[in-house]
Parts: sequence; structure tokens; C-alpha cells
Amino acid sequence: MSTLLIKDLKVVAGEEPILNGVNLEIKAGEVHALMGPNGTGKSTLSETIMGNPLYQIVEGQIFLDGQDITTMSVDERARAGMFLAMQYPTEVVGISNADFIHAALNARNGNQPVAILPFLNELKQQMDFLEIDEDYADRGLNADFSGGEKKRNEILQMMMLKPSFAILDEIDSGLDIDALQIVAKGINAMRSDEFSCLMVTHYQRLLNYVVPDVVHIMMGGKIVKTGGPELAQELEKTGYADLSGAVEGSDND
Amino acid sequence: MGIKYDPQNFSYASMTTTKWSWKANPLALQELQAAGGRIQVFGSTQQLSVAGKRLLESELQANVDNQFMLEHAQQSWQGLELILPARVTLKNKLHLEITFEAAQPSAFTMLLNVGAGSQMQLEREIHYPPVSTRLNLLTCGKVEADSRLNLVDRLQGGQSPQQSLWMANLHCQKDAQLDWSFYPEVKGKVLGKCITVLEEQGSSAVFKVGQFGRRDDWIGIQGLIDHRAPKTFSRIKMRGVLYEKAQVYFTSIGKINKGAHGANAAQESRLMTIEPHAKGSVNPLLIIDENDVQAGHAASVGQYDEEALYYLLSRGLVEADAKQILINNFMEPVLPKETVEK
Ligand SMILES: Nc1ncnc2c1ncn2[C@@H]1O[C@H](COP(=O)(O)OP(=O)(O)OP(=O)(O)O)[C@@H](O)[C@H]1O
Ligand SMILES: [Mg+2]
Repeated sequence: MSTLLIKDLKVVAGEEPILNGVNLEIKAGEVHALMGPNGTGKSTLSETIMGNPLYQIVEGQIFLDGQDITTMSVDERARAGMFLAMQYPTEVVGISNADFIHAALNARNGNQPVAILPFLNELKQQMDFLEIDEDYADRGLNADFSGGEKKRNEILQMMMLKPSFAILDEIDSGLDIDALQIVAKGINAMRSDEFSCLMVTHYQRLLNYVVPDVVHIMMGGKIVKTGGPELAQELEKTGYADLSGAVEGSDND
Repeated sequence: MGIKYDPQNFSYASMTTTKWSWKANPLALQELQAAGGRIQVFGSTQQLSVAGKRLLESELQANVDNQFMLEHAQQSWQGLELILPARVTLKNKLHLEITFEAAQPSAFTMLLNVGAGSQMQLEREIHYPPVSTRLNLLTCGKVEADSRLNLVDRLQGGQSPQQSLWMANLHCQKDAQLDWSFYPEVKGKVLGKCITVLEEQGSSAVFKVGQFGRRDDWIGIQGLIDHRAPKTFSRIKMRGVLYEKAQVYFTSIGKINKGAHGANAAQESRLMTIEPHAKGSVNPLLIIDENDVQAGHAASVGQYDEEALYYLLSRGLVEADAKQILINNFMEPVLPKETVEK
């Protein structure tokens, strides 16, 4: 089970209204793509679902598996099965990648320590799968990783933590072609009835590898159009210009 | 400079001789002795080596404007002299514990000489008596040409607040390398003044301070690296984490004298205030009297890095654990390498 339901979500950052009534439903097992021009609120939506304190909900609700999570703290949401691969992952030099993932697993395990040997075995396996060099387990968390390496490391964390609902914010940006395929392979490996996912992207090329069930287009802090994978392909040809009418239309209601 | 201290807290009135003892790990001590080196107790300057006496005299002359040093010199001399002869590389780290037993205020001096072309790792641990007292500790040392000294200094107090005055002056000769860390893990008041003089060409020094301030600790530490020769290199890194009502003041000074062309000096001092009543400041200073140099500084006083905290929380860590990781992360640049690695 991993359904996400968002009802009429309005969000401000500081004084600035950014989301103006987002409605979204992602059912268990589904992968949705979220597209839209720069600055329309895709990251804001991602961060708000995760609970980033920079964003305040002024109206609306977010339900994970029927439970309203809007009053839960960030770490509670994470332990409830939520994961956000961030557009710009942070570097924390003072803890190794492996120790960090282990600590996160322990926390998700109700602070019961997860046995170290099986953990290390699985870590090695997943790192092999994602073609991440072994050394990266002992390096500081994201410390001096390149942009693409950080993205791959987000996928590694997702595969190790096994969330039931993941948001991937521009996981494909800054990736070379090989890395894109590897990352896509990681996401596809997660796909199951127990897992659902919201992928924020600007490009069709990720969607060639990870074929979404549903595609949404966000403009002006709202979802203005929803369709199947063909919607993204259309967009590739027409751009967002044709949709600006939809934004004005929705502003008037 | 930068440190506002109340001399009352550190004054030398009524210092008496007191009981202290030292010990070292036998393996390293034997290695030192087998190489012709020694650690020797002295109870007056008569008992110092010729070089030691000379070092002490020149140090006192060079610091006539330092009131604490002058007062220290008026106390009866007692302490330890450590000598490592030339061209010796000690494999074992020398772990030297100096324990003060009685609760009398004490003035203690240590002289250090690392001979030319030699290398050693030295860790000094100062143990305070269980009751409050005042310790004034002076270190004078020389790191001779082409030698390397890796020095870790720890002040370790128990439950009682102490008053500590810590002065240390180290001189580096040609191409000598000094890596020096200072951890005042003692409660109460600490006034520290650590000076490194890069006397000759090509010498280099890294000075690190790591401090956790708690309760109503008051800590003022000044690190000065004095570039007096060409192509000298220095780094100062200070980190303090402040809890409760602690006050921590860091001053770092990079001084580049005329003629020290090609010198490279950088400093980075940061404080992290964990609780609202803790306070402190960092004062980086560069005093440069030469054109052809590279120098820079960075300083900050702040709380948790919110972005990093959020990242850690978003993986499910509870807040207390996430914050501890950030504290360790903050301290990491000033911790000795072996405690970071596993
Ligand atoms: N913390 C914040 N404080 C103030 N304004 C913010 C904050 N975060 C985002 N914004 C503003 O909200 C708007 C939406 O930003 P957001 O990052 O959600 O866009 P996006 O759709 O993810 O864009 P991109 O495709 O460029 O990543 C922008 O105008 C941005 O400047
Ligand atoms: Mg974005």
C-alpha cells in the first residue's frame, strides 16, 4: 500500500504564494511524471510533501495511505515510508555514506539496529547494480561527489531504504547517457505494487526508460493537464505555450 | 587582541610548588631513550639542558611585553624537558600524561626540542585534580630544520571547574613541519595563547583547536602564526560547539612580516551555538607587511546548517541523531585523523 492523495493544496514560501490549489492522486504501484516550466512549483510541491519547513501549507491536505501527514515532522514522514531524492543533495563530510545509510535504516527500524553484515552485503550488491565504485561507501556523505554521482547516490539510498512512496526531483538532470540508463534501471527495479513514485522531470528521455503511468503538467502552481505517456511526447513537440490558456482559465475559477 | 579577559581569573598570586607526576607509554618512551632522547624532570633552570636554558631565555626576552609570561618566570621553575636528538624517526606515538594531584595553584613549564631531520608524534594530556584549582602552563619548543612534529594537546578536567592559563610558543626552522592540535576539554575558564613562529624558509605549521563549551565555561583562545621567512605556510582552523551558557572567543592571527615573500597563510574559525544562552565570537586577523603573499580567512558563528539537517531528517533519522551527525561534521576538520578513521 502506498497511495498519495493531495487535496487543494495551497503553499507559501515566506509571503509568496507558490502552489495555488494542487490536486493529485497517485495509486499504489503507479509511477507519475510531473513536468512544467521553470519556477512553476514542482520542487515546492516535492518539498512540501516531504515536510520541508521552508514551505507553509495554508490550505489543503496530503494523505499517505489515508493518513493525513500534514502535521507530521520530516523524519516521521520518512519513517512512514516517504523518500525525496532532492534536486540538490547536501554534502555532509563528517559521516560516511555507508554509516549514514545504516543509521537511516536503524531509525526506520524503530531504532532496532539492523545487522551489519547483511547490510554491507546488500549495500555492495546495490552499489554494483548502480555501478558505483566501492570506495564511495566510505567517503563522506555526498562529499565532493560530482553532480551526477550525487544523483546516483540518491537512487542508492532509495534502493537501500525501500520507501513505499518516492519523489524524484529532477533525478535525470546533469546525468550523462550511461548514468541516465543506470538511474532508470534503479527506478525500474523499485517498481512494484508496494511502491509508487512521483518523478519531476523536464525531459522525455528519462520517460523513455522509465515509462510513467500518468503525466501531469504544472503551470502557475497548479496541475493544468493530466494524461498518459503520450502527453509528454506531445509536449516535446509543442512546448508549454499551448497550455498557457489553461493556466489563465484555471486562475479565473 | 579580540579576547577580552579579566586578569583576575588567571593571576599568579600565591602559586606554590605542588605535586604532579608524569608517565608515558613504555613502548614509545623506550624507543625515545634508545635513540638517545629523553624526558627529564626539572625543579630549577639549573637542571635544564644548555639548549633548553637558551630557548627559555630567548623566549622570555622575546616576550617582555607579555605580562603572564613574566609572572610565570617569577614562579619557581618546574616541569619537564623533552629532547629528541637529530635524525631520529620515532615509530610509536609518545603519549605523555601529566597529572596534577593537589589542589594548589601551579605553574608548570615544558620544554620541547625536536632535533634536525627528526620526526615524532606527541600527545600531551594534562589531568587536573578533582577539585577546582588554577594551572598555568607554559610550553616552549623548537622544531629544528627538516624535522616534523605532530603534536596533540589535551587539557582534561573532571567535574570541577578549573582555571587554566595555557601559553605555548613553538619555533619552526628551515623546512620544518608542525601539525598541532589543541583540545581544552576542561571545565571552567581557559585562556589560551598559542604562538608558532615560522623562523626560517620553507617551514610550515597547521594549528587546530576543537572545543566543546558547556555550562558557564569561559574560553578564550588565541592562535598566532608568525611568518618571518620566505615560502612559509600556515593554516589555523578553530571549531567550537557551545552548549548551555558557555562563552567561547577565538582569535586567529596570521602575521606576515616584511621579507616573508611567497608566504601562504589561511585561517578558518567557526562557532556553532547549540543553545540560545551560549555566546561567542571569532576574530580572524591578518597582519601583512609583504606584497608577494597569499592570505585569506573565513569565520562564522551560527547554528545548525538547516539544509543539511533537513536532508538527514528526510531519510528518517530522529532529530537528536541528525544534530549529532552535524556536530561531528562541524568538528571533523579539527579532529585528529585517527579518531575520524575507523
Ligand atoms: N524558499 C523559498 N522562498 C521563496 N521563494 C521560493 C522558495 N522556494 C521556491 N521559491 C519560488 O517559488 C517558485 C517555484 O519554485 P520551484 O523551485 O518550486 O520551481 P520548479 O518548478 O521546481 O522549477 P525548476 O524547474 O526550475 O526546478 C519560484 O518562483 C521560486 O523562486
Ligand atoms: Mg525544481
